[in-house]
Amino acid sequence: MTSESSEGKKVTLKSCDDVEFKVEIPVASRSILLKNMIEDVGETDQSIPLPNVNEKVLKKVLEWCQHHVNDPQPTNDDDDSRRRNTEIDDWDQRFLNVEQDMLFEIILAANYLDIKPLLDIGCKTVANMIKGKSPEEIRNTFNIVNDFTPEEEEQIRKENEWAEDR
Amino acid sequence: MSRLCNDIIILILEELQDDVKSLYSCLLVSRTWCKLTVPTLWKNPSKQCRLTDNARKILFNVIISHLSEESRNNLKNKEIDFFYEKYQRPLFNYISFWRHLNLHFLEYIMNIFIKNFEISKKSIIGIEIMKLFINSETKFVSLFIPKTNFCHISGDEHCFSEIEYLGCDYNDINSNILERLAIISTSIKVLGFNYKYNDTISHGIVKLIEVQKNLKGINFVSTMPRNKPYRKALEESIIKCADTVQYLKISWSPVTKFLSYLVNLVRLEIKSTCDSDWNHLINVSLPCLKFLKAQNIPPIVLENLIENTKGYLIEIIILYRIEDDGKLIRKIYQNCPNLNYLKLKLSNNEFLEFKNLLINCQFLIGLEIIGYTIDWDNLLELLKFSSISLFKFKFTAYFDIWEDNLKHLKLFLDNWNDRHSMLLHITTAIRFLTLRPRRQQQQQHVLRQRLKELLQEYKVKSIIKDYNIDGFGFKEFEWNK
Repeated sequence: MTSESSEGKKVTLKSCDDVEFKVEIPVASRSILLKNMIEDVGETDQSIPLPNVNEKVLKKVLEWCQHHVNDPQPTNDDDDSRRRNTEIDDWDQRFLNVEQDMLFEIILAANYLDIKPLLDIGCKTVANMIKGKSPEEIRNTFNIVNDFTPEEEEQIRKENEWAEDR
Repeated sequence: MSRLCNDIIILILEELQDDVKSLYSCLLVSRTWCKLTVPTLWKNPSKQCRLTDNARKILFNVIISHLSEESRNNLKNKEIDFFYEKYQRPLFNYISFWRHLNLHFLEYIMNIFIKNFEISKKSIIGIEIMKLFINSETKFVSLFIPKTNFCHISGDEHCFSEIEYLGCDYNDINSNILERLAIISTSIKVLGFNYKYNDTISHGIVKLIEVQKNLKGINFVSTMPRNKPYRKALEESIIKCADTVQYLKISWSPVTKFLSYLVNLVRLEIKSTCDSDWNHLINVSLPCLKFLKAQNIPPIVLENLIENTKGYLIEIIILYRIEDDGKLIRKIYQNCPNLNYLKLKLSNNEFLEFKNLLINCQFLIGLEIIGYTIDWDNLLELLKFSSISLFKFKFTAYFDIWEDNLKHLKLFLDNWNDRHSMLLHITTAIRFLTLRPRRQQQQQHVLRQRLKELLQEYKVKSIIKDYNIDGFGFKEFEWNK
């Protein structure tokens, strides 16, 4: 189903906490998962359950899909080059300026729903939070426990120090 | 962060693949992060083209720590002993994560210890080190083979069956390697060859090109041997990839009409120093061409090439052209309505056509003009006819010409008041054929200061966004390489 032929038609999405969203098909089709489902099932009154996404996150993801409804679909070839060339525009920066938990939820939802451009900018945003930080600062930022033994940590440091010593 | 699955953490780490210092920090966060970071950090250590001696030592010690007991004994038996540190088994099989094998880089790492070894010993070491790479389960993504190396590829090349990028300095030995790769590597996307003035004629390249199924780019860096049958065979091998080739760089005048077959060609770089027969380029049609870079190509050939594109050209770079009273410029504005970037040498008698180009090419963003002795006052005056999209400039002239034209440059900047803030790169050249080069250099230095003061004044007024005088790597002009 192309976005042209589906303009105006809607599909109902149901979050894991049972909240329904009526969404125009071109907006929902930013998600490759939903696009394929809609194409396979055809027109239906039944809602599509999304067991991995709650209302709050789905609302947010749909806001992104609505804003980017007219963007070209990313091609499958050369994922690496696509990611490298992805810049986070001002709107997206504001969109992702959320609490860390929500940012992670958006990334997980983008992964589940197969929305590559949203996944790319989400990962890039987290990567930007890591840049220039020491291991301890990264642990503190993301609440991670250091589970290395001192010997392990020393050996890892030694074997990879070429990356640090430049 | 524990809520993000490992697949997502890997994607985040890949965003950091050009930032090894941050990756190094990530390694030391926790065991899980370490396991997830190692593959990204070790995917392409050769990306760090310049390492400190200490970093090279560390990397070399990690590499040799992967050597088997048998290899270590083999080396020691041949009186090769560089195992200065107490052996400790590495925590990871780091080499198995290596995806971009650059043999030049490997030698660069190894040379920190073995620079003064005899060649025969270097070869033995090379063989043992290469066993680590060639025998591993790795599937390499890219391979670079330098002209001379002691890390030879021999034996099982299965690990190169999926390479997408191959760079090779060409010689007899490498020709044999290419012939063997042609049997197993058919998914190469980009091929680069450098002859380095070697006149070897061999068919390794030909065989490798003709078996490729998805070859997008071919890059011949230097001049090829002047052997017509060989060039013909090479061109015919490229025809076999005509459906997929989008980028081509060649340094010879074609001996067949092979370019006509490359209907999907998007970028063409072509140069020649002494070829005279350009018949096979006349009437070549490249309907998809977007980027054209030409050096030492006769005007009539260029005019034909440009005329036979379908209006998609967005970038044209013409180096070392013979003046033709503006005919080439006319062809450009008549056939390239979407032109974004243009670089060319200009002469005074082409100003009229150049003005037409400024009027007609409404999407021009960047302009690089080389005019060592042209009337810059007139040229700067002409630029007011350009479209509002134009804001990147690079101007090259003899330094004394700039001295005479500072007031015109000032006027040009004053008139830019209501336009997009410009990026301006000025190059001042010395007249090498005159006497007193030292005095010229002093004068050039003084001029640079005056130019700097002038341009800074307009930067403050936001007429200039950024400027550069005689500098390299002005990143805003990266389009123009």
